[in-house]
This record gives sequence, C-alpha cells and structure tokens, in this order.
Amino acid sequence: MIGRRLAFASVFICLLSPFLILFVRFPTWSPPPASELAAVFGFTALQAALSALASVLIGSIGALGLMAYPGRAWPRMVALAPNAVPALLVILAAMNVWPGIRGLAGIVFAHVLLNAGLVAVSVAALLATRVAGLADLAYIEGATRRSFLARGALPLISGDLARLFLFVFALCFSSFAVPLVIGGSRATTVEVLIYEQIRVAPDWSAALAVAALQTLAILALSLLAGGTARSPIGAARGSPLLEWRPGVAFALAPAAIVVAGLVVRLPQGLAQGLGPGGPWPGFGGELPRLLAGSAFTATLSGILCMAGLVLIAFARPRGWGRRFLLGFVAPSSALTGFALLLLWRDTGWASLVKIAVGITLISLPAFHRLRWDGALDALSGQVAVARALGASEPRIFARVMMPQLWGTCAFLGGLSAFWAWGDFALSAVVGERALTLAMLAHGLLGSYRLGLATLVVCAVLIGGSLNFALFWGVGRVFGSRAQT
Amino acid sequence: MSLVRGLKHDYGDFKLDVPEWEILDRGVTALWGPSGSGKTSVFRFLIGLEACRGFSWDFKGEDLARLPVPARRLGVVFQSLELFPHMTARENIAFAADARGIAAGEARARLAELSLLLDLDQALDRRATLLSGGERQRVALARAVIGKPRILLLDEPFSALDVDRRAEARKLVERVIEAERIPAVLITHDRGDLDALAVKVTEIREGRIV
Amino acid sequence: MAPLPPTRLFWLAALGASAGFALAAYVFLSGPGEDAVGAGERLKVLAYSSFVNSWGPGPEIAARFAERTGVQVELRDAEDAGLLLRKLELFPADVVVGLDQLLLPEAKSARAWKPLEAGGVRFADGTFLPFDWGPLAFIYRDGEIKPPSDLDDLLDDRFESAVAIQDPRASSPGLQFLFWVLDRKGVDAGFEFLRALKPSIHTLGSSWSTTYGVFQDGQAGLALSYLTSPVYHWTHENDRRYRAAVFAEGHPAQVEYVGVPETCRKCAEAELFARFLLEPEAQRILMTKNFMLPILDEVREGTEFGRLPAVRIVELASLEALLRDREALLRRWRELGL
Repeated sequence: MIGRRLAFASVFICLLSPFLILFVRFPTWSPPPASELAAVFGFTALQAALSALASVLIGSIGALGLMAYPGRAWPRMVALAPNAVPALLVILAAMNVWPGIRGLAGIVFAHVLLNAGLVAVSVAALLATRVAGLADLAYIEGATRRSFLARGALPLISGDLARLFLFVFALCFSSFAVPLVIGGSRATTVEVLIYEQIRVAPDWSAALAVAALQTLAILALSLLAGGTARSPIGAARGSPLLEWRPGVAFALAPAAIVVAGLVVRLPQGLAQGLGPGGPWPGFGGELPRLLAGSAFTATLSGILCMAGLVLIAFARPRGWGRRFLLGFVAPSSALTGFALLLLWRDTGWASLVKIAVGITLISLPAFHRLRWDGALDALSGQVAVARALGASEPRIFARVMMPQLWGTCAFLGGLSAFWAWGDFALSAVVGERALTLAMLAHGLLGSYRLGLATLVVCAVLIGGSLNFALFWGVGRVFGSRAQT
Repeated sequence: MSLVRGLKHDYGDFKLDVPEWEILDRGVTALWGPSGSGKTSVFRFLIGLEACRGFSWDFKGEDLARLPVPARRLGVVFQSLELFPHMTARENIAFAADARGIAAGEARARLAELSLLLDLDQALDRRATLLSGGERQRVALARAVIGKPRILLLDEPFSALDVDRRAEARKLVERVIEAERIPAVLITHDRGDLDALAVKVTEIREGRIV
Repeated sequence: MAPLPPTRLFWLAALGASAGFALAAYVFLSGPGEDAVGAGERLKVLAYSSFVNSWGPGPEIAARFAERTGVQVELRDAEDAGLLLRKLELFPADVVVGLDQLLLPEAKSARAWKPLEAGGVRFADGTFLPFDWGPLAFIYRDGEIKPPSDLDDLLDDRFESAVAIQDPRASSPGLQFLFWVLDRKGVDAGFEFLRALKPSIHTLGSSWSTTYGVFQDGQAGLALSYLTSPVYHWTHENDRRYRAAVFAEGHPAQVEYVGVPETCRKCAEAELFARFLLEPEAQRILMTKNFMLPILDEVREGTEFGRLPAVRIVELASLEALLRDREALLRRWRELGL
C-alpha cells in the first residue's frame, strides 16, 4: 500500500512540477479581470467542445474502417500523421480544400483534420480489445451491424468515448494557432491569452493564473463528466460486425488532406533546398545531428511516458487520485518549457532530455485519459480476485496487470514519441538552438522557406512513423501472450 | 459459526444496514434477494473491496474485517469469474497457490487433486480465453479453493451458465465444498441455487436482512 | 517479481539502445564546437531564431568575429524577438540581439544596460546599437493583383478577402501595423479604419511565418511583411513577380537593435561584438541572410537590395503613448471581431 502511495505521489509531483517550479520563481498569481476571462474561457470551451464532438463522431466511423484492416500498421500511421505536422501546414491544407475557411466552423474543421485520425486509431484499438469477443457472439446470433453497434458496442464503450471526447476537448482547449488564424481577432483562446500575457504584457502572474485556471477548468469538467464504464476484455482482433470498409475514408481523409498539402509542395521544397543560394550547404551538414536529436528526444519521451504509465498502473489510483489524473492537463507548452528552463541550466544534449521530459509531462495525462485509465479499469475485477486470493501487490502488478497492459502501454509510448518528433512549441522554448528536425522546419517556416520546411516535415513524419512502429512492435511482442 | 456485525453503509440513494448475520461453519449459507437488494455490496464488504466503520466479522475468535484483504484468506468466485485471460487454466490455478505461498510440490499435488475432482484435465493447458463457459467456471472454482481458504465466497456463480448446465455446476460446487470441507457463502437471486445447495438461507431486501 | 523472458528483454534493450544510439550520434555529430571551449569562456549571445539558425546570419558573423578577435561566441536561441526579454530573465547573456523599437522601452525599464554610443549612426538610441532595419510593407505578386497605393486603398473591393496581416497580440509586425494605423489616423478613427478593413482580411496570422506562409502558398494576395521580402524571391527563387507596394504616405520602419546588459560577464568582448555588427563585413552578412536593410547604406549598393524602391520613412509620433496604453488597445482590437 505504501509502495502504491509512493508511486502515485511521485506521478502527482512530477505532473504538478511545472506549476511548482514556476510558483517558486513567480509566487504571486493574479488573473486578468473576470469579465475578460469569462469571454475567453467561454469561447475556448465552445470551440473545443464542438471540435471534440465532430472529431469523435468522424473518428469513430473511421475506426470501423480501420477495423477492416486488422494488424496493418500503415493505415494507422497515416491516420496519425496530422498530429506531427506544424499547425501552419495543417491550416494551409485546410485552406486547400476550403478556400474561404473562417470562423467557428473553420476552427472545428481544422481541429477535425488534426484529431479525427488519432480518434479513429484509438477507437479501433478499443473495439478490438474490448468489444470484439462480444461482436463474434452477436454475429453468430445473427445481429445486424447497426443494431449491434447501437445496442451492443456503444453502451460498452460509451465511457471510453466520453474519455476520448475529453481527450480531444483538452487538446483543442489548449490549441493556439488554429483558432487564432482561422477564428480572427475575437477568437481568443486561453492559450492565446497566456501567450499574450507572457509575450506582450508581460505579466507572468497573469499568465500563470490563467494557466492554473485552465487546468482547474478541465479538471472540474472531468469531475462533472464523472462515471466510468467497465467493459470486458476480449481478444484483440477484428470481427465482421465491427468492420466497415468504406469507413476507412473517414479515418484517412483528414490525414490525406494534410499529407496531400505536403506532397504538392515537395517540388518547391527541393528547388528551395538545392536552388541558387539555397540553405542546403548551411544546414545539410546538420541534418544527421538534428535527426539524431529528434530520434533521441522522441524515443526517450516514449520510454518516459511508458515509465509514467507503468507507475500509474502500479499506483492504481482510486477516488480523488483517479479523478485528478483523468482531469489534469499540463500548463501550456510555453509555460512547461519555461519551468524546465528554470530547472537546470544546461545546453546541448541535456536540453534534449528536458524536451523529452516536457513532452512526457504534457502527453502523460493526455494518454492516461485517452486509453490508460480505461485499460486499468478493465482489470479491476481481476485485481480484486487476485487480492482476495492473497496475492501481494507486486505479484498482482507483475503477473496479472502488466502482461495485459504492455500492448497499450507501448502503443501510448509510441504516440508520445510520434508527438515528440513533431513538437516545436515546447522545444523552441527549451532549446537554445535547433536541436531537432521539427525545430528546423519551424525555423525554415520563419525564413521564407515554406517548401523546404515541408520537405523537413515529411522527414519528421517518416521518422515519427518508424519510431511509433518500434514501440508498436515492442507492444505486440510484450502483449502477445495476452492477445493471441 | 462466524458472525458478521455492524455492516452499515450509506450510498446516497441506497442504504445497507446489516446489524448481525450468522454464517454457518459447515455447508452453504446463502444470501438471497432480488437484484438491487444489496447482496453484492455485502459480498464486497466481506472480501474487503469496501470498508466501513463498525464492521466486524468474528471467525473463530478472529476479526477478519480488521485484516488486510490477502490475510483474510478467502476463496472467491465472482459472477464474471475474472479468470486471467493471458494465463492458461493451469497458470490461473497455480497463481492462487503461489499467492498463498503453498510449496511447489504441494501445489502440484493439490492441482492434480482438484483437476480430478473438477474434471479439468483436458482444459489445463488451454489459455483462459479459449475455455468453454463450464470450464471457465470450474477453473474459477479450483483457483478459489487451491489455497485452502477459511471460507469460500460465491457471487452468483452460475448466472453465466445456461439452465441445462446449472444443475451440473451446482453438483460440482457441492462436491468441492464437501471434499475440501470449507464453509461457503453463496450470493444469489436464483431459488434453484437455494434448493440445491443452501443449508441456511438469509433473505435481503433493500439493504436489510428480513 | 517474475524475470522477463528473453524476447521481451531483447525488445526493451532495443528501445534503450535506439535512444542510446541516437544520443551518442547526437553528441558525436554536435562536433567539437560544443565542448572544445568551456561554456564559461564563450561570449553568450541571445538572439531570435532566424538570426541563430544555421542559414541565418548568426553563425557566419560569430565565425568572422572569432577570426578577428579570437573570442568564441555561443549563440542562444530565444525563438521569437518577443521572448528575448523573457529568456534573458532566466538566463544571463552578454549580448542581446534583435530588440526592436517596440521592445526598447520595456527593455530599459526592466533592467540596466551598458550604454552603446554610436555617434551619427542612423536610428541610434544611445543605449542600444541598431544593426539592421526594414520598412513595413505589403508584398504582392505582380500581375496577380493591383497593389494598394496607401492604407485607405486597402479598403477597396479588389482586396476582398485578400490581405494577410499578423495578430498584434502574438506578433511584432502585427503590433507595428496596429500602431502604424493608430498613429496615422488617431486611436478612434484608427479602430474605425480597422473595422472597415474586415472584408479585406484573409488571414490574421499568429506569427509572421503563418501570414507569409498563407501568402506564399497563394491563398492570400497580399501580406504584411517588409520592403525587403521580395529580395528573397528574386535571389533564391529567381521569381521577380514579388514586389512591395509603395505607399505615398510613407512606411514605418522596424529597426533591430543589439544591447549589452549591465549583468554581462564578458562586457568588453560584448561591446566589441555589438560594434562588430555595424562593420561592413557583418552588415553584408546581415543583409543577405536576414533579408533586412543594412544600417550602412553603402553596403547595399550594387546588390539586389539596391534595386528596392525608395520609400519615405515615417516616425510614429505617438509611439510612447501607444506603448503605454498597449493592453487597453489590444483589448479594443479583440473586440473588433476581425
């Protein structure tokens, strides 16, 4: 019990550490006027809720499509692609298919491009592990797909879908560039307000107060959302009732729009890189270093994320601890970055470690909300039996829980690695020069080289996919006994 | 005879109030009631998934309610059976023996004994997900008793089986209880279970013993 | 706890090894520059990303400076000019490169700086040294749209949903544009003008790169940038369609400054570096890699920068008052609903 409490306390302190560090440096926090805050939080919540709803709907249909391709990694990787693409390129891709994109509908559209693929991949994994067994039974008994989905699958995974909604909601709640560029000057989100307070005002006390309120708002929402559903674990596989081939269009179309936006710019990228006065000689020699930087940051952040998840699994938080983890969101990338800057003042590879830590701090609660809590919850019956049978905590953890959790754990670690490949918001604050390929892409965007930046982003996507595949492979090997 | 006392809990929309309840030292004591009557809540308190102040369970001079869950030394079979899906039937049963610290040789002998008793030979090396409903139930039973528990707790153990198989399953449970000589608590809503197994029946309604 | 089977150990080791290998590769490829000179011995120069990037002016200037003086420079990236002062709060630096006029008052009130006198140099400030500058201008592609002739012309129907500008809450040129309009027209009339500008706006970018990216991609026909921006397309893409619209009423200029904080540890070398930026050699590098105008006019003669149109530079007379009221003005901006 003490071990479990210690494990939870260490996760708790790690997650809160950005706030704690910033509190030591800037002890007074005072929020901007309430009227201003209310308007900003109201709009942020509205766009996030609509975006999350649309993403979960479209992603869920997409999941049925992905289920028709069980065991294939590439459709899942393509679906994930938009999550590692800089916001500008996603915005440009959105503009390619919707030229006059503006306003709330535009923001929702761009957020769907960003998140629907991730939702599809997550729901597909959920269906495969938690509903497939039941689906087989229903199929044999002659149920139709529609009736099974509505009356069989939906009630089983409704709690998980609510968690997914909350996951996308939290992502969109802290979205920065998309609402600002597509929404116009009224579309102030909380993240814009935080950035404005740091950069323009400058007012750390207000920035920190707003960030703390943002975290509390999402925490409160998750408490309101409350109940969780428990579902049986089945075999990880497809089932005729859960497969709908045309649905794959819903999973891949958002990614295809984004990837097509990249591909059309590749010739321009090559011309910019190799053309007269192109910066190739300038950074060509740096590419291997940046590639290594990205690979290290991403792999480490995947490993750290897995370590965090394993620690949470060991802690098996209940009551308020569980609710805290379900609702917690990290402060914005900028604030997490500044907190890590304050932590220790090193440069070079130590900055890479800081970036990996920062990405883990941001991704861990998100991924816990996305899949981990549900996965732990599904084991609660087995854990109860094992305890009653006299098993010690370490034995339950090692023999009952982890063998069934490795697959999900490595999948989420892979997602964290994939995010890390594409991150520049946090890296730009922490790094003191370009350390990763994503930072290079960001720099190129800031110096007229849109095409070349696209080229680098493609390299980021390939690197991220390979890294994700490595984690996925680890998960399959580790989880294989539980699933075959 | 063991005595449960002071089982009181307020769930907001439901109150559980069992001031006193006797469980026999031999045979099956059944707690019977419709769904929503509080049977499963009593079961959760007995195995230690929930706790409340004032609750005591006097078992041969020892208060089990004060002991941590593993030290209560109970055998449990959940309605959902909760076999470990990544393990074979043998591993599921051996897990419980390991957990109780039973020496390897003795565990092997017990497994052979129970396997014979419950007709599990063919199923032992199959993964839990590949077992039939009846086999799953028998594995859960073997897992519950291999560690020689003080008392066996069964929560609606037959509800997952179709009607034809229930009679057979009840016989198996009876056989195990007799062979192992352990008292059992059976939580059920099924009168058929009472007729076949119960030595003593306690009825529970709206959280109270009637 | 049960020991892990060999296959799993292998995969765990593979994960660890990939991280280890990547780290080793990173350290190896970082080259001797990272460690050859101890961090304490190097001159720490904090600058924004496009100065520090390998294709930016920073590395070449640092190398030339080291050749000339023997002083090794460590460039530190503060990302955006707006974050220079925030990073300086956390990390001491000997030199800060890239503060513009809008940031100077805050820089001065936030901390003490070594005075850098530069008699006779254009835009000299007394505390900070200017090292490059660029008039704000709208960039267009010739043949695609008839360029605007002044601010009011932006309200014309032909610019319907064609103009990309930056949001002043998140970007320096955006704030410059807001102040330009408010200074030129007065605060109330300025906001009226901005309200009327709404139909013309295609994108309010979160940064210069977002806005210019949208324009470069052909989505917007006109982007707020610098007079010098077309030179990139002329020299690097051989595309001469890119032009800057010349406003008869004049253009405000963004001037970039270098400063030496009082807390400097290598103060003499820091001042030397700051002054080095004004030498023709460094000015040429700044011009061609930063795509901004040099402070020394003669440097641009005979280059593509010499072919840029001459524009009248206007001073923002009410800049001080505007900066003082910045928060209230930004609130009004938000309420415009552009």
